[in-house]
Amino acid sequence: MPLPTASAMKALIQSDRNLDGAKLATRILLGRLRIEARNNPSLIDAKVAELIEFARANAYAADDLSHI
Amino acid sequence: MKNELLSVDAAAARITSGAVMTIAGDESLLAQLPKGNWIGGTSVYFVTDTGGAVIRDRLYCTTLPEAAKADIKVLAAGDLPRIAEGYATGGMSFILIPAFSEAHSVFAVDGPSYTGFFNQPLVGWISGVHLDDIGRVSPKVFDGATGEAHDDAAVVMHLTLEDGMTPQVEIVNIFDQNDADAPCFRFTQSGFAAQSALIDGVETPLAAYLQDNGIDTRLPLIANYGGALINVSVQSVDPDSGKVAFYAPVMEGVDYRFAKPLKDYADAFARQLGAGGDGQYSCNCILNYLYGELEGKSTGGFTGPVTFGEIAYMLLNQTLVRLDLQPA
Repeated sequence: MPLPTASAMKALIQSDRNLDGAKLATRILLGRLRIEARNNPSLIDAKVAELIEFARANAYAADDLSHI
Repeated sequence: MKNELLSVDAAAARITSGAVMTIAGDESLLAQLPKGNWIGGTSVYFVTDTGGAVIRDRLYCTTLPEAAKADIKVLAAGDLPRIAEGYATGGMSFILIPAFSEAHSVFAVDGPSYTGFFNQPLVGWISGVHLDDIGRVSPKVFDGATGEAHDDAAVVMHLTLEDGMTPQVEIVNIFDQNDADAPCFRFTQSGFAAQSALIDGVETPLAAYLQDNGIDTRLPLIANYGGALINVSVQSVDPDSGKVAFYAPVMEGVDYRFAKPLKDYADAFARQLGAGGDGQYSCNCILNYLYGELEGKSTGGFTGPVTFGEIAYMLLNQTLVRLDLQPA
């Protein structure tokens, strides 16, 4: 499953959009990344990298994120 | 997966047969079980087919024929950051943690930040005691491989699943977050207690606010994690010290709103859960049991221990966690 671009991942982290159809792990991780990026905006690239790494390690997450 | 209330003798026979199991029950019963592929946690509160009940003469046993292998680890607070090192490829893990322990508080605050933490389903609960025994008896978890009980460490059972088995973890939250125009609470430090909060952006003494505004603290604070509603329940409000304590940590920088009131707790569960539940693992929160007066009331087909906190990756309050194992 092809992953969204880094810029799409960044936009997702910086948004308030719910991933209602996604697996629980994807939703909770996204929530945590949003909080950390909001508390410290300089971390945004690291949080995008973490989300990409999670999606590469978990096929269901790649599927969840392919719909954004 | 099979859920049963078993006598000590029946549970022991199942363990001796080599079954992989998670077990909940009174400490004195768990202590009688033989060594084997099981982990256990103390609880005397259960949701059964016929409703909530205090049970001290049987054990709530979940047998997992879907597991090809079980690897049990005892992790003290300092070892918890390495939890993902035990994950089995394509597997899942159960975790039980004693309430009020350092492992409980450390996991609650730091768990979601551990390396690789989300790379496998992690389900479990916080062990407890009868409410009359709080402060006199410490909650325990049991490592079935050694038979040892622990009141200061988590016990984790990493499962390798039979080929094609896929775990599905979900939380059932009967509460809805209040509307967007309701007061928003944000905290400047993560932790199990707070003196103040930014309420709609204004730093405000929290205990006084809750009292002055007649807030029903049986309702949880709710945060939205990407569409997953995560509750934090109020434990106590001390007007003298101004301290408000929580059953799970409030997290720095997260927007919380109190839940909308419920008309009927048991009915809300039954409606959200619907039919089913047979062959699924679930645990429910002691606060739902108490505030919903669930003793003797059926909440549908989902049965299991009533706990001092539920774990679906992260620590939750006033929630039901469920796990289903199905062929892909």
